[in-house]
Amino acid sequence: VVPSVATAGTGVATLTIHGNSLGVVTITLASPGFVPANTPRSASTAALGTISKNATAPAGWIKGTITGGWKLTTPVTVTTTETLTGTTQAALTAKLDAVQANITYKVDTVPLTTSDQLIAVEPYGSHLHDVILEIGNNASSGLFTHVITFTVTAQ
Amino acid sequence: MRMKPTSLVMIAAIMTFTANAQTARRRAVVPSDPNEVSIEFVEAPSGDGSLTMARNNAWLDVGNVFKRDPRERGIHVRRLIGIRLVRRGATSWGTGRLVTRLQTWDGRTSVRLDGRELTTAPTLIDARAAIGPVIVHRLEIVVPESGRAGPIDASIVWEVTTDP
Repeated sequence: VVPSVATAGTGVATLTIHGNSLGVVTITLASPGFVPANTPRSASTAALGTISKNATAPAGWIKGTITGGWKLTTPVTVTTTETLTGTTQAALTAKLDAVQANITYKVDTVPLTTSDQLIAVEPYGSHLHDVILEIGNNASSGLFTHVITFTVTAQ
Repeated sequence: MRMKPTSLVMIAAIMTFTANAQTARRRAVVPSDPNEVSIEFVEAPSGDGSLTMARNNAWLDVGNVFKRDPRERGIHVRRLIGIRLVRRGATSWGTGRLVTRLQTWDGRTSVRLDGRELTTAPTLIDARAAIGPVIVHRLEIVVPESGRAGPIDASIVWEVTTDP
């Protein structure tokens, strides 16, 4: 009789993990002049309806005068957040999809063009800015639709 | 009686061939250690093909990841990892004690297996892991909310010890 001895066996394996984590910044807009009003969204709409120099301003917008025309202004709360960027502030830029004769789109004091314009460099959080339509007295009547794109970039 | 030189050479060649054949037969019948056990990685049923396997090594490429769920703190990457414990002998039954530990890591990312956070010290994952079937484990890689994004690098050593 040959005695047998049970022994424990051992096995080893290795799992190697690779990847890359990315930082993220987010932006939302909220304004009494947007629909729905004062609701933070990453895609907002302002439906102005029919506007004229002598009519009342659309809801959430304030009418004013400029040299050679008039303007509509609405305050916009821009809220930015960050995750894993290692930054404390961000640059806010804005651009217009297309220019329109005799109407100037501004954010604060910055006239918008079809390329990104720097609005501000500010800490993450909520900050108040103005969106302004400056309408010249020579502006043509007609339907218009435009898109303003806000971009936040970690600094 | 004297043999011709040509005949002598032929006999020597035949003898050499016979000796080699016997050696080969001995090698083939040597049994492997029946208690030897190995760990094989298996792509989980819901796997996305990001796991590359070669024998007892595997590489998981999670690619570029970022925070998707604002309700969670940090970045969470979850994968199912299948392993199979294989015993070399004829027996494919029994159990083993499965432990894991971090061999290397980037010092920032934390790695959890079945909810247990791994460190460089061995962590018991399964005291009685079955030999034979595929067992699926939940791997979670967490990049903490604080700090800065960057490369994710970790290496997990899996070790199984079969019961005697």
